[in-house]
Amino acid sequence: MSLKSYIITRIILAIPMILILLIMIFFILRIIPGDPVLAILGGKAPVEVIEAKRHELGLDKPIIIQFFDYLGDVLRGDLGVSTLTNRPVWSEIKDRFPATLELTIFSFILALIIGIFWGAEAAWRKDKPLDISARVYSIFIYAVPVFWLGLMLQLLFGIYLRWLPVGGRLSPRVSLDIKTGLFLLDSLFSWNWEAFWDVLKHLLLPGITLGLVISSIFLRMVRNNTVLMLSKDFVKAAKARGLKPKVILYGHAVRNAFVPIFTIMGMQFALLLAGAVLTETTFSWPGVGSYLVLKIKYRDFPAIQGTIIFFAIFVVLISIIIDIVNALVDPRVRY
Amino acid sequence: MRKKFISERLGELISDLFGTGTGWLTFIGAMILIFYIILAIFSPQIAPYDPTERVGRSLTAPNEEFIFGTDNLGRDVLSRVIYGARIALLIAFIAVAIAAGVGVPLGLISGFVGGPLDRILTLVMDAIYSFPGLILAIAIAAVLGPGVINIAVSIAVVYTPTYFRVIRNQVASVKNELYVEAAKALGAKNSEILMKYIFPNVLPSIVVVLSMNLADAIMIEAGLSFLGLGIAPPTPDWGFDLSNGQRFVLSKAWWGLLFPGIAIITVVLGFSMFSEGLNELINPTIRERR
Amino acid sequence: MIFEAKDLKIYYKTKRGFVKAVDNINLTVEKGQTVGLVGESGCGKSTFGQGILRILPPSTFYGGSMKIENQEILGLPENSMRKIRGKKIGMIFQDPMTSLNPVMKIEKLFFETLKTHEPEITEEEARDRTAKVLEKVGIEPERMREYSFQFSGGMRQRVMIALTLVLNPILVIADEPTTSLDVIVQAQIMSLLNELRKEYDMSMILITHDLGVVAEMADKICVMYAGHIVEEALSEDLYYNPKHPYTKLLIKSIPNTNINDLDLKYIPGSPPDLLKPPIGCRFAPRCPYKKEICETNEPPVVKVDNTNVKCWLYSGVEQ
Repeated sequence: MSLKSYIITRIILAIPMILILLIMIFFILRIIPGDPVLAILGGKAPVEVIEAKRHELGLDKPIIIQFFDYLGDVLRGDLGVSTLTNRPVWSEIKDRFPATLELTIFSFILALIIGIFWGAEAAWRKDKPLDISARVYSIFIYAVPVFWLGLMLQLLFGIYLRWLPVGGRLSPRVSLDIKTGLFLLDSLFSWNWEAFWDVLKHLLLPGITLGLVISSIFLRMVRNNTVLMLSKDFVKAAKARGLKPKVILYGHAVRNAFVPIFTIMGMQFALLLAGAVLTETTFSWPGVGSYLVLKIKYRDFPAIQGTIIFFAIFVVLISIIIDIVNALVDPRVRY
Repeated sequence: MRKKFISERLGELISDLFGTGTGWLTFIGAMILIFYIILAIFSPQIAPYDPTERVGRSLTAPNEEFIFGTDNLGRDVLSRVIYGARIALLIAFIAVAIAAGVGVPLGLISGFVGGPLDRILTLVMDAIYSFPGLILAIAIAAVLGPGVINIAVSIAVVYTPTYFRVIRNQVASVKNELYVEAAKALGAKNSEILMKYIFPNVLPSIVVVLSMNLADAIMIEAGLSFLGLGIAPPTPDWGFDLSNGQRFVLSKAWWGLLFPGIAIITVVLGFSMFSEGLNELINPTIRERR
Repeated sequence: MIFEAKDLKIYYKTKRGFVKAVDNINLTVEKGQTVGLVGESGCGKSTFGQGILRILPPSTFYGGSMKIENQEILGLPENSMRKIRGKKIGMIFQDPMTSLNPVMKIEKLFFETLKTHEPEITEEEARDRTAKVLEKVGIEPERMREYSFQFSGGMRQRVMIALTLVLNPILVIADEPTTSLDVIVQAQIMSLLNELRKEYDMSMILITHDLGVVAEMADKICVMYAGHIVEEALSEDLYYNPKHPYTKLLIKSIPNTNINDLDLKYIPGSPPDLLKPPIGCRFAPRCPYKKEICETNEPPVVKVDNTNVKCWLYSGVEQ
C-alpha cells in the first residue's frame, strides 16, 4: 500500500470513531444532566423566560434534530457559548491550548530523553546498577499519582529550596509579546532573555512532573527492546566491523528498538493528556486541562462539553498522526 | 493493542527486578491489602480521633499527640488517612464490580452472537477505550455529581471496555472449539452453552483483570477527588485531602501531603504485587510478555 | 603466517559452570590460504570464529594465544581490538537476512564502517569505494541507496561480502556463509567468495558443517568435534584418505549423487555436553572403533602421512 492510500484509509477509519465519541458525549453531557436551561437560569426564573431561552437554544426541538444541530455545530467548529463568561468555548480553548501544548511537548521531549538515554545505557549494562536503578525508578513512577509527585516537587523546589516558582506560566512583572502562545518560543524569537528564563523556570516543575510520569514507559520499552536488539545478528555484525560501542548502541540497537515504540506512542499520548489535566491543576497552569476543571466547578456545561469534544477529536487526530509518522519511520511499512 | 493496567506494568517491573515466581512478593502484596482492608473495616476502632472533628490546633506538625500532624481545620491527619482507606477501597471495589458486571455479559453476548450487534458493540467499546480514561471519568463525574456510587460509575465506564474486549475475544475463539461444536450438535441451548462451556473458560481471565483493575480504580478515584470531583467533604478521602493540603503548601505543611500520598502509593503497590502473583498463579498461559 | 591460534580455549560462563566450547585448539593460516573448519552444529566452530574477533559475550573466558600477523590479540585492550575488527579480520555471517540492519540504507552501513577505521575519509570517497566494491560483488552501485530488506537473500549476502571487503582485511572469517541460501545461489556465492579472495589476496577461514562445500575451496581442512580439532589435513588428503573415525563417518554421510546409493549414513548418538565433556576422547561414546584407552585418556595429536589426527588408533604408528 502506498503511503498516500495508507493515510487516506487511516483517516476514513477514524470517522466512525469520532462520530461515536460525539454521540456519546452528546448523550452523557446533554441528556443526563437534566435541563440545561434551568442550569443556566436557575429554578426560579419565570416560565416565559425559560421557554424563550429553550427556544433560543433549540431545546424545544425533537432530540434527534437537536443532535444533528449539535453535530453540525461541532463540524463547523462551533462548540457553543460558555454560560459563565458568555464567550465562545472554542475561542476560550484556543487561548488556553498553547499552554497545554507547551507543557505536553516539553514533558514529552524530557520523557523521551530520559527514556532513550537511560534505557539504552541500562540495556548496555544489563543487570548492573544502572539497569536495576532504572527498574526501581519505573516502579516508583508507576505507583505514584502524578499530582502527588507534582506536590512533592513543589514542596521541595518551590517552597523549601525556593529555586522555582510553584505555579503559573509567567511572573506578573515580566512582559512578553505573545504571538504563538508558546511562551518559550515567543520569548526566544523576540530575544527576550529575561522572559525566556522566567518562562523556563515556570515550565520546569510541571514539565518535569509530567515528563517523569511518562518517562518510565519509554524507559522500559527502550531498555527491553534494546536488550533484544543487542542480541541480534546485525549488532554482532556491526561489532565484527569494529564499530564503536556508542555507534553500535545508539546507531544500530536503539534505532531499531525505536520502531515498535512509535506504535505505542498513541496510548502514551492519552496518558499524557490525562496527566496534563492533573498537572495543570496542581501547578495552576492555564491550559485546557485546568480550564476543564475550572468549568466543572462552575457547572458550565457548554464549556465542559466543548472541552471534552476538543479532547476527543484531538486524541483521534494524534493517533492518526502517530500512525502516519510510524509509517514514515519504519521503512518496511513504506515499501 | 491493549492499554495496560498500572498493576500489570508494575507487576512486570517488579518481576523484572526480582525474577518471576516470587511467591513472597505476592505474599507481601496480600499483606498490604489485608492491612488496608482491616484499616477500612475497623477505622473507628483504629483511628485515634474522629477524622471530621477539630481535635487540635490547625496545621500542627507531627508530634507525639498527632503523629501525622493536623490539617488546616485541626483534624488529625492519621485518622483521616485511616478513614480514607474506606472510601478508596469502597469506591474501587464497587467500580470494578460495575465494570465487570456490565463488560463481562456484554462481551459474552457480543462474542457469542457475533454479527451486526457484535460490530456495533465493538465499535462503541473501542471508542470509549480510545479516550483518555481520566478525562472520560471527569466528564461523567461532572455530570453525575458527588457520591460513592456516582464516582464508582464514572470509573466503571472507563474500564467496562477492557472487560468487554478481553471476554469478547476469548469467547470468539472458544466458540469454535470442538467441544462447543459438539455440544451444539447435541442440541444444547445457547444459554446452556454460554454458561456451561464458555463462561468457565473465561472465568480465570475475569478474575485476573478484576484484580489488576483495582489499582487503576484507586488511582483514578484519587485523581477525581484531587480535582474536587470526589466525595463531598468532610468525608476523609486521600485525593481530596491532598488538594486541601496543597492550599497550605506555602506554610510548609508537608505532613498533609506526604502521608495521604504514601497511602495511595502503598495501596497501589500492594494491589499490583498481589494481582501479579494471582496472574501467574491462575493464568500462566494468557500472559503476553516479552 | 597470517593467523595462529595456540592452545586456544574459549569457555562460556553459565550458571551451571563453564561450557568448554573451544578447548586447546591449534590452528595456523598462511597468507592466501583458505582453511576449512568443519563440524556439526554445536561443536564450537562458530564460537571459534567469533572468538577470533572477541565479539562473544563479555563474560566469556579466553585462554592460550591468538596472533594476527604475529601480534598477540588475546590480551589486547578493547580499544585496540576494535581497530583489528573489520580492518584486519573481517567476518561474513551466516544469515544475511538478519545481519544487516534493516532500518539503515546500504550506503550508510558502508560509510559508517569506513569512517570508523579511516576517520579522515570524505563522504564522496566512501561512496566511490562503496560503488567499486559493490560492482565487484555484482550489485549495481545505484542500489546503495536502498535498504537491505529490498534485496533478495543472495544479494544481501553479496552486500555483506562487499561490506567485509571494503576495508580490505587480511583475513576473512566466513561463518556458514551460504547455509541460509538456495542451492544455486549457494554455488554462486561460494565461487564469488573464492574469486574475490584471490583478487584481494586475503586468507580465509571458512566455517561450515558441509564437508562437500569446503573440499572444493579450502587448501586445508580442520575437522572439529566437541571443542577439539580432531583432524587437520590438506583437502584432498582429508577427502580421499580420512584418518579419524569421525571424519570417515562425516564423509560417508555426505549425500552421494549416485542414485543407487540411497542408503544415507548418519552418525549414531549425539555430541557430548560441553559442560562436562568425556574425560578421554570426546568422540569415544559414538566411535565404532573405540578401545579401552579412548574412554580414559585424552588422545594425543599424531602425524600420520601429512595428516594431524587426534586419535588413539594411530598413536601406535609413531611408537
